[in-house]
Amino acid sequence: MKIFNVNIKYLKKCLLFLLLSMPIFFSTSCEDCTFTSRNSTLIRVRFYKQGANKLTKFDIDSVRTPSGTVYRRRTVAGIDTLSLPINPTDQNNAYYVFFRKVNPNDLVQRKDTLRVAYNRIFSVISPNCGYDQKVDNLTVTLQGTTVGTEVFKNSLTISDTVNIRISF
Amino acid sequence: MKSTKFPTTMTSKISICKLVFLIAASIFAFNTVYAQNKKIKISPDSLKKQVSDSLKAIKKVKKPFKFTVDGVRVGFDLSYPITDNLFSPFQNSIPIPNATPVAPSYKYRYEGTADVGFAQNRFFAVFDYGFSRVERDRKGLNYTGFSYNAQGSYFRLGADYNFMHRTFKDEVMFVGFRYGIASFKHNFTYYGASEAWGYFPPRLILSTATIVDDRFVGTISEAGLSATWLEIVLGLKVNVWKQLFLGYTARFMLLSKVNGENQLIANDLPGFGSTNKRVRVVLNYYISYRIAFKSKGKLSIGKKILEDKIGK
Repeated sequence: MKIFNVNIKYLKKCLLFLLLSMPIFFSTSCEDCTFTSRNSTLIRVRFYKQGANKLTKFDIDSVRTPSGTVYRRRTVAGIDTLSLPINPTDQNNAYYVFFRKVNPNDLVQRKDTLRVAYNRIFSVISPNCGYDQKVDNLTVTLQGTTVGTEVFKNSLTISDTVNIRISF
Repeated sequence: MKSTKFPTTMTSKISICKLVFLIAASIFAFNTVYAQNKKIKISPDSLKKQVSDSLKAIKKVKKPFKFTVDGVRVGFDLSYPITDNLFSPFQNSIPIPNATPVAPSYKYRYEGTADVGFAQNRFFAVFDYGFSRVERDRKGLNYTGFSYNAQGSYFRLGADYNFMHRTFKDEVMFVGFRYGIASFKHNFTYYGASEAWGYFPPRLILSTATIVDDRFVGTISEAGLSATWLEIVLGLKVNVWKQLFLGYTARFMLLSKVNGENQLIANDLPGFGSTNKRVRVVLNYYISYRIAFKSKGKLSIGKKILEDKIGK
């Protein structure tokens, strides 16, 4: 039957074809498993000389957490930047101790402490990429007497150059 | 010789009369020709105007449709059981060498649908209900191993408009909208490793030939979560046999909001799917059965169109 030059039977056939062809689309479609996170779990700290707003290299011997070591000095040259990994446990705070000599000839190391707190939100990226953590609201809760600190950027991302400025 | 003054005057008068006559005649002739030309000149617009004027008397009167309930169609979705069992992304996942055996991951989703047809196959009120359980397991990843599961139910409310209601009596090609609401809970176990903090990823101890796993295991459980989203849907339903219908629905979904997340962002929402993207396109394939309330004789399509035209 033709109405307005359109064959209804032909239209119905088209509909059925569309209907039956859909499983092919199903077979080709799948869930998006690619995702790149911009979140970071490293706190970037930079060292400054107290009273001067200038990035300075310090002779830091080691930086330790309560149960491990973040950094151990291997060369003579000092460092001006360090990345501190956040606590992987369910605690939303971290504690770091900086061991350094004020003068190269000193026998006793000075201990500077830094305690930070933050918020974490977990998310599952994809089955193959694992989980992701978004860390923000970074604050310094405790610091040693000889350390001056300033939170420069309180959320952690992979493109950060500095999150906390430390003045020795 | 007689003065020719009078005849001269007469002649001039006659000449003036002739001139006036000629001007009048030429104006008349011009008008006539112009008028004839105007009549002969047929532009598509003028023709259109004439045709539309001529049809004014029998102008198509739109048939006011009766808002009757035509029937109820109930069905269930075939696409989720098929894709979850055959095309699950987890079955295509890259196996991790030397990793601890992982528990298989599952995704169970079932959905039922019901629609009520109104106004001679024009409008449909639609209600969908479904539930889903998603388990994702990748404990073997060294630094980002996890186990996640979410379960909950959802429903959608909306309406469809059959834009082919004049052509097809039973078949439906529709456009519509849905508003979806899901309530769910999720549990998350994460395996944290950081050498700086004394938590080491799984490693093989050669002397004892055992795998030591020093990772921190943390858990997060959140219940009473809810999510809402909007959908624009396109699809069709084809009458394949008696009152049995097959059809699909393409959904363009826009996530509105998720309530109740504190520590864990929901990864898979019942009825919506993965939250990695706020906008998703999903296809559902339904099989459904219609219970017609009014069993009137099947009109021929031509008769139906004719009826619509004359406004019977």
